[in-house]
Amino acid sequence: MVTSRLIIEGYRAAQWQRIMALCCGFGMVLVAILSDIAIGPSFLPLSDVWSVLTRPGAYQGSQMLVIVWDIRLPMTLTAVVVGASLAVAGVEMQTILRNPLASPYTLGISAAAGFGAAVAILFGISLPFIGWASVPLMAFISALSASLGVWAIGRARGVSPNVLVLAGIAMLFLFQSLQSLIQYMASPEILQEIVFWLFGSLLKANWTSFMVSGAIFVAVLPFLIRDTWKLTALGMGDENARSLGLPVERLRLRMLVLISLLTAGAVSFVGTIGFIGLVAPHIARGLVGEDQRYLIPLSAFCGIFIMVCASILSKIISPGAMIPIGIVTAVIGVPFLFLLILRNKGGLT
Amino acid sequence: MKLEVRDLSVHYGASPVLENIDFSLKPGEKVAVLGPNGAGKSTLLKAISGLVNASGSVIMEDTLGRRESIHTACSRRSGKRSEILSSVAYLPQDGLARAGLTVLEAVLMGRHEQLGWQVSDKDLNEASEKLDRLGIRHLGQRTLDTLSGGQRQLAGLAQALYRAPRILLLDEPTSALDLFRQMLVLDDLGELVREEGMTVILVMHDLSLAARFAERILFLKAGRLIADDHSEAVLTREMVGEVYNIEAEVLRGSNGSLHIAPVRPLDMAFGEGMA
Repeated sequence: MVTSRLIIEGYRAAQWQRIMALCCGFGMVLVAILSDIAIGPSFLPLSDVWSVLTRPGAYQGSQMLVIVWDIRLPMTLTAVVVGASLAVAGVEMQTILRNPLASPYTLGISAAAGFGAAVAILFGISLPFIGWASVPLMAFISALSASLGVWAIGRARGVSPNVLVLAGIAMLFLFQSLQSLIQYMASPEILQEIVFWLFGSLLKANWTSFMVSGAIFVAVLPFLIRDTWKLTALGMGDENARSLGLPVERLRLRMLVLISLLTAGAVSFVGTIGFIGLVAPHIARGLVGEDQRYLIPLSAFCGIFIMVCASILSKIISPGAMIPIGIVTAVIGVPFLFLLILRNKGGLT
Repeated sequence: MKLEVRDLSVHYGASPVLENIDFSLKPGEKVAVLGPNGAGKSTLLKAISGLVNASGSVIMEDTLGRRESIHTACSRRSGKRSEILSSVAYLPQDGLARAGLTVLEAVLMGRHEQLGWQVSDKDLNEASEKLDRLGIRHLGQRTLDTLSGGQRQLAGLAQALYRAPRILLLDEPTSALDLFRQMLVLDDLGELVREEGMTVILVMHDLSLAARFAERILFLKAGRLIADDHSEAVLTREMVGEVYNIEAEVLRGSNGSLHIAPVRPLDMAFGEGMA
């Protein structure tokens, strides 16, 4: 009995460490978010940011209210949702493929989104009533159809990780070529517009983009929570998972749908944001292990943190002009990844 | 729990892997499945636990006389596992993959369908008791990817035991273990069978170990069941020679135990049934 008490205490202590990691993550995210709202062409003290956010009524008619609520908050919140969506999509991609190199982009979903956007820009497609949403909507539809393609192949041929990766690479090449074709056909002005879209940038963010991406994220969460233990069990290999009665194939297909939705929701409005879906899950895994009860939320926090910090950095580097955030995330993400590779000494495989 | 296997056949593509297997087991029987590589031993375990498509029937009957076929139990698409399915635990040959989960977490996954959001003390107690039983308590907080093959095998076994099965199907559970642990594990399984009336089917390659553990031996060759009898009756010079195509000696230890010593392989044309 003494021995089993020791084991239980060890387990509980490890749980507490993980909960603490989650709290720290949440705190860091909160600070980053407030700082991001404070920083911009005109710097606002953090205390002012806080009071404008909590008591907007008191600032009626002031410039600060417009800056915080109409300009910066939508951007920051979009960054939050995009960071969280890509990070969670990345975790689950790595889980269902049991491959640490997988990311939400492994299946070519973002390339498809880029293609959809490029088509909309090239042909000047404008939907009735919601003309402003034509480009993101086309990107979204294109991204979903690409993942539907991967899903159909997986369904017909059985969803082993290898089949999925292969199908994804095929999609990636297909849509990249189509994207290049569109760029080749486009006039210089339109080409510039397409290239700007492809760089992920928060300048495209607004309340609507936040609402749509946020709604997708919130809608996906309950499904993830329901399968938390199953996803954890999948980590021990297909054979073992099957022997434990897990419907491995169905679980993979279900996750594929959720990952596609998250990724499409994230990239359709702000363009391709690199690296978060790959790096954030790795950082989180290093801190809390593979128990998905902790891995999913901490990955989301890491994703948000990197994304918001990238946003801050992009504002500081070029005040007023804001470097596209997609460029900055990769620049931040690469050293992170190098550090992880060096620290893990081959533990990544 | 009683197990009845009737006319069981499995095909991978067009080629048969198992053909017309028939046998039944009483509760509390210890059975070893033996045979050359590719004879269909692992497939037999998978078919019994409903993990491969098979024709014929596998029927479990509990002490109350309730009968259920494993295939109807599997085809039900409801999320909840039937009682029959959860009373069978199968430990695959590959066991647990190298993963970042700790051994304790891996064992807890054995009953993932019953775990609440918070893992209860009762669950932790039972899981740690299984670790104790197999002598791997000290590995509880180690992650699977830092373990040796044998240690992972023990962790997998602890997971299978944690599911508290009535029928335990183990595919070469001792292949990576040292001599001490081979005996420890087999004696422990023997104890579980005695104490709890669990039925155990083991796939093995070590004939002497099989003789030590099992009361009954099934010999498979090229997908067919060619012998099914008491170990003394089956482990003869002729039968071992016939199944494995070797010349072997059957020796008797001072305590009466059977030992099978391979002497030399017979002709090389052998290979029938190799995958």
